[in-house]
Amino acid sequence: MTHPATALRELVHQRARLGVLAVVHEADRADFGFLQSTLDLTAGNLSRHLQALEEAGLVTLERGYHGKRPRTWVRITKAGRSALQEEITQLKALIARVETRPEDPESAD
Amino acid sequence: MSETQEQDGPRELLSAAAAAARAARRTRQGAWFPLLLLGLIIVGAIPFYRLNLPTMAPGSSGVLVGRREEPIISGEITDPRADWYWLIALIAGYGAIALFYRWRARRTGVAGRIWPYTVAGLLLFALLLTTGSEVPAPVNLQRVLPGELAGRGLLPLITIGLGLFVLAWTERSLLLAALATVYLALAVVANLYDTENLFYRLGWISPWDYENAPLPNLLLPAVPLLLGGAVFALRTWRAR
Repeated sequence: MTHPATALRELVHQRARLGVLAVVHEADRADFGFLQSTLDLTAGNLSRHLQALEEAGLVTLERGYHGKRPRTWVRITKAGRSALQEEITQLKALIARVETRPEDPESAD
Repeated sequence: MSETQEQDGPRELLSAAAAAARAARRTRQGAWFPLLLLGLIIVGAIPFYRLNLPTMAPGSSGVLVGRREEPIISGEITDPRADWYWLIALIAGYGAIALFYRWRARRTGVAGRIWPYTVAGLLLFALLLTTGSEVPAPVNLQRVLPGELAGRGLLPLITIGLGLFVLAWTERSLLLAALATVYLALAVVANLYDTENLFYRLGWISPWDYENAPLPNLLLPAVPLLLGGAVFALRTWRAR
C-alpha cells in the first residue's frame, strides 16, 4: 500500500497554491486582489504561484481591465479540480494514518 | 499567511484551504437580493388579485394571448392583466438578479455561477405558460395538476419556489434550502386554499373586505421571502 505522503503532488502541496485552488474551486472565478488579501500573500509571491499553477494547467488566467486598472481573473480547470480533490484526499488519509497509528511504546509513561 | 509558512502539517494545510474556501463562499453569496426582489414582485402582484373587477366578467379575455377565453396564468376570477404582470416582472426580475451578481462579482473580486438559477427560473415560468386552457391535453398542466392548484392563478409562486432550490444549490446554502422549503410549502397552500377563511374558522373578523380577499394568499409566501432577504442581507453586512 502506498504511503499517503508519497502520493502528495509537490506542485499543489503548499499552503498558498492549495489556497488558490480552494478559492477558485468554490467560486466560478476570483480576481488577483481577492486572492492576495484572502491568502495574505504579496503580489510577487502570488504571481509566482499563479504562474506555476497556470503552467501546470491547473488554472487559467484572464487578463483584462476594470476601468483603467488592469485586472486578472483566475479560473480553475478540470485538471485543477482533480488535483485539488486528490490533494485533499491524500491529506485526509495522512491525518487518519497519524491518528490511528499505535502509540510509540518508548514514549509511553 | 506569510511567505515563510510553506511547511505546514496536513491538518494546517486542510484547515487553511477550508478557511479560504469559506471566505470565497461568503463573499460570492448574494441571496438577499433575489429574495427581497422576488418578495417585492409578489407584493406588486396584489392589485391584480382583487375580486369584483370589471375585467373578471364571464368570458373576459386573457390579454397575454389576445382572444383567449381564459387567461393563461391569472385564474378564472382575477384580473387577466396579471398574466402580463408576471411575464414582465419575472423576466425583468431574473435579468436584474443576473446583473446584480455580475456587479457584485466586479466589486468583490469573486464571481459565483448565477445563470443556472436565472435560466431555471425563466424555464419554469415558460413551462407555466403551457397551462392555458386552450393548450392541447398532453401538455396542458391544468389538466394534470392535483386539486385546484391552477384555480387561483398563483402558480408563478410555485415556479419562484422551485427556482429557489436551484439558487440554494448554486449558493451551497442549507439555510437558503430550508427557506425555499418553507416558502414552497406556503406557496402550495396559497394555491390550494383561500387563507382568508382561516379568520372565519378561528372565529375572528377578517381584516380584508371581499374585494381584497385574495390578498393574504399573496402575503403568506411574500413575507418569508422578505424576512429571509432581510436576514441574509444582515448576515452579508455583518460578514464584511
